[in-house]
Amino acid sequence: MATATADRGRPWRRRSAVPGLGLTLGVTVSILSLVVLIPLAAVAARALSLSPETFGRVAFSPRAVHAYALSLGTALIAAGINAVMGVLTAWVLVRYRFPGRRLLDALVDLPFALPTAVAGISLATLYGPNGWLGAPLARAGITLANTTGGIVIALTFIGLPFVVRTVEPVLRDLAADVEEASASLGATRLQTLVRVVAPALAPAWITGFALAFARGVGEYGSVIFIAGNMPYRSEIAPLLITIELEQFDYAAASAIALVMLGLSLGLLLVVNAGQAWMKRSTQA
Amino acid sequence: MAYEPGEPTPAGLSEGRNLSPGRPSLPSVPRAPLAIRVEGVRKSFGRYPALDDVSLDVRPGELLALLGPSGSGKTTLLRLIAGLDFPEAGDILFDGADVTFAAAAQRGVGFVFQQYALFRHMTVAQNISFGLDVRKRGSRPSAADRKARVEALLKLVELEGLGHRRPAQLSGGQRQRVALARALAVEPRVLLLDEPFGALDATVRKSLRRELRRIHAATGVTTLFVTHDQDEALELADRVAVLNRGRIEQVGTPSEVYAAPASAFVAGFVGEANRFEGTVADGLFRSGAVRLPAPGVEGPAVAFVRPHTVRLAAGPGQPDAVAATLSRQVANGPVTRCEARLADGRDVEFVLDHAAAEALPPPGNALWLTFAVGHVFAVG
Repeated sequence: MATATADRGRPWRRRSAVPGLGLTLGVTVSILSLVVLIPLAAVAARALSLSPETFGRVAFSPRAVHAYALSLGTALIAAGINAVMGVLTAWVLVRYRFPGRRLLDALVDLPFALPTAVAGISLATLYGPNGWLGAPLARAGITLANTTGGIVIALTFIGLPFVVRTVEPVLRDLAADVEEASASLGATRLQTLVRVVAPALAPAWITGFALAFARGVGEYGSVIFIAGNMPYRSEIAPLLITIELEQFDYAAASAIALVMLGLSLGLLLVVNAGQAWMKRSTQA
Repeated sequence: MAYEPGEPTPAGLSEGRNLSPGRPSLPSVPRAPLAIRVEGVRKSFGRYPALDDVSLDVRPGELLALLGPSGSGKTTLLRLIAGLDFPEAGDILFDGADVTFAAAAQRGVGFVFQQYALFRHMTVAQNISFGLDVRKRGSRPSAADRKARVEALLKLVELEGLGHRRPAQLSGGQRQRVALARALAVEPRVLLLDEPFGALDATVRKSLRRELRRIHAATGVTTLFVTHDQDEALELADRVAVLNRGRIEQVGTPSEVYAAPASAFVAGFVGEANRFEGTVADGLFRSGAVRLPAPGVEGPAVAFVRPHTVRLAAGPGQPDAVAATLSRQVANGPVTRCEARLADGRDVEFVLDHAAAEALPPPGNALWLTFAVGHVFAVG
């Protein structure tokens, strides 16, 4: 590996005044391995111990495929809602001073702090057939509890802070003079928003969207109370994994988990690639 | 207008503003330069008054500098004229029409920000074209005309061939040129620049100054720029408005402001000066051994003596010679800058040409100085 001729033999090691690359990288890789990589590898190993036929049967059963579609679909919709609402919330928090702003600021973080089961039970009670919101909605012919809609609501709740907290600092740093320049050049408010503010915000916005989406795909606690969990209708993939685990079918649980893992990783890679492309095209 | 004769005028950017001969011209009418009147304007931020009853007349086509220390209100005044802020009292008139509360977009101003404020996600060409691109369909020039206009402006600010770059790929001076071209693209009736060279290094600043002068001559647009750099104001502007603590202290040509300062503040702020505190009696200012003629002033006063008016005296016998000890001398370009300490401990700066500096004793030795002319203002 390392040769005696200092750095020349180790081109990967650049001389730098920033201290501690070796130590910090070592700690990072160790922790990541222990906490993330090794458990994930174990999941993969467990799943791949199944014969290909069994894996296919278990991992792509109609019930499982439906659960994947439901999990990914609802997570995408919820992340989409959050992308819009989160930017609005961040905008309000950054650009305006009003009574109760700090309270609102704190409320945004609540979904981070609240046990998801508590959120799930509250939402189920609120939107249930007899709930404060569920009852009027039911009279209007809208049922949310035990439907896809209910799942979206739960995922929107837990995903909101991700968008707000990623967009907020960028919005704060976006110098007011750029917006003023746009206005002085004759742009309307809408043109300034669409042509100047939105492009500057886009990278952080996509990150927030990706985080909210990733959280939604894996979310379990808050969803199961409001979803009703009917197979082929409102059963999410994480729940299916739990069901397999409760039946002590660890291999089947791992197989479904592996598919989820692949799907999420693939989607996040796509989002990251898109973001990197955008960054290159705007800042290069 | 005192434009330097013989300044090159890029084709089409003068009066008629048909940017590219041979191409269809932009749908614009030739306009006479704009006159701006500011009347009794007040603006405060919280309890702090940024502008206090400020009035100013800007003549059509002139290049006027708003000069003052930080916090003097000069940027605030510029922003009020641009429509980026609005006054609490007073009026702003463009050619006699009240625009006090008109939106920035309606005023036809070009604003150049200190930190450039370029759109980072757009290319240089897209930045310059922005003001034309956002126009309503009816008044928007065709794509070909916009492209031609961008090319002409890139040529004007000497950035030809860089239209496809992003702002991040340009140096500070180049970015400021882009900002200037972007502001000029909308054919502003007035060009406003907020500390346009403040963030640039000395060499670039100097060349951009000349550039601005040339562009101003080429476009003839009424131009105001804010600066805290007196050299910049004196070198560049047709007239200078000196601001202090939210008030205009003096408006005049660079030579008027320098040679005949209207107040103690202007005398101290514009140009270098030795400051003496003393009293005037019978038309003579006295401060220790320093004496200066002070017609029309009486009582406690402050005097400003430019370093280049201080002379070496032959010896103690010469009338009004003041004894001093030379502390330092530095050859600085064409002159020698000297520092001496008077007998009463006050330091004095003076400037000699190299020939006169030959007569100086080594530092630490005694010499005699005469103070013949100064600007004397009553205090209090």
